[in-house]
Amino acid sequence: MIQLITPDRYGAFVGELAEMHRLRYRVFKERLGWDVEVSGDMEIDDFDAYRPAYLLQMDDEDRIQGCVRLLPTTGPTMLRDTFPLLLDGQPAPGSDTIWESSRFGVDLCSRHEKSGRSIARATYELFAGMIEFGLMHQLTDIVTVTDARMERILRRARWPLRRFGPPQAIGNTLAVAGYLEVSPERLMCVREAGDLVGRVMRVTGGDGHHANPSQAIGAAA
Amino acid sequence: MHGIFQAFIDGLVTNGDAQSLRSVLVQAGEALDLTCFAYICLPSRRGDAPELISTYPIEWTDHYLQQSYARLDPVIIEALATPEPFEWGREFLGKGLSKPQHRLLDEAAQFGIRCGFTIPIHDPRGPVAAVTFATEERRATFQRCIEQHRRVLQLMAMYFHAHARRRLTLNRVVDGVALSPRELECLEWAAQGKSAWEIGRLLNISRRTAAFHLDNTKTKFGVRTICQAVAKLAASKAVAE
Repeated sequence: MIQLITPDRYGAFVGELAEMHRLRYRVFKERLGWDVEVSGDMEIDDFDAYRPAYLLQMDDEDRIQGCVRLLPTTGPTMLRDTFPLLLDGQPAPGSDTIWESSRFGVDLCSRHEKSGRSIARATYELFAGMIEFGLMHQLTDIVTVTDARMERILRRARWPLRRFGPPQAIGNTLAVAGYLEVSPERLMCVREAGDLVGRVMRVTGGDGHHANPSQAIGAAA
Repeated sequence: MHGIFQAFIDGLVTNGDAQSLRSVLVQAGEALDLTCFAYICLPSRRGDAPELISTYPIEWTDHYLQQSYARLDPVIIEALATPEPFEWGREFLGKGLSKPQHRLLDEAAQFGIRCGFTIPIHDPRGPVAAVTFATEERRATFQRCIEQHRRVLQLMAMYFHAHARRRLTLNRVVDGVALSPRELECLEWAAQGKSAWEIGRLLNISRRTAAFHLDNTKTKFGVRTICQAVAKLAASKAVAE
């Protein structure tokens, strides 16, 4: 299940946001060894100050297993401000219908669950969530800076990256930037590839309300 | 708590200068009964003054800045050493302190700053910052608040720093192009004839990272060489003067 957190709801999801920054610490600082900004066990960067939307992937017990951050390209973006080299001479996208995704990370809670299957499940749900978010906002594309490994995973999910240019070595990763198409057809492809049935996104929640739809139905009945 | 955090975030977004950033933290602090706090952002260049936003008595902060206390403040030294949030008091800081450090703590105590909870923020490419919630004595209410809201306070400190840094070190626009503070810094050294290797040494970053920032400035200006980028910078300065 995917939880959308928009800036007007940060307060309602303050606990989830803290958990997300901890997950990002585990993924980007501990696992990938990036030189990122940290405080205690949380990771944050400049772009979190621009009121992004976040998608959180949660398991059946509402534990956060993955996240991705989304920002409109009409404002500051990583592609324009941090990695313009990856544009390969093309102008940085700046349009209402194109958003940028960043800080995509998956880290499962307990060791015995870290099977390839559940990692794939969380990853595909996040992809589907990104497209569902895109369709909600009438986007045509999502742009992203990623690496060669992630590009392969995207291809396998049948959501291929349309590159701006060839990959470039940045620090210890081979970075590449490109467009990801937002369309109902792509959503079908990703759902099929990930064996997902129907919508992954839950828009309500937070404050502990509506956290569990079956409970809500039970209470009503 | 939820409403307090939402108001805090909304306030950070709509407020610009140091004074209004302070008022946002004051509001959140009052709601949580943490009225005495300080945000400090240490200078990235030696000799520059730290950025300080606080509710501490002005006589104390003036004195603190004048005496360059940030350099010997045991709380700051601990914050520089570890990104882990920590609680402190005389007993925690008391061991192995120098005479000037004891004097600093005595003086702080006179202004009612005796113990606190400090959240350091470490950015490998930028300055170290810290948010401290201080109190005169270790009261149960203070202790409970810190324990209960530890994670949210950490989140608030991080977001506050992200916003403060953005407002206080805005990108410089040169010839219609927005350069990050780091890119500008590298380009200014290049204008003084320094190589990427030398700039790396000066800024304590790798040659590769310095070259990366310089390449970005070339890309942003749409030029081929560093000489051309330096010329753009020089021309924009001539116009500004």
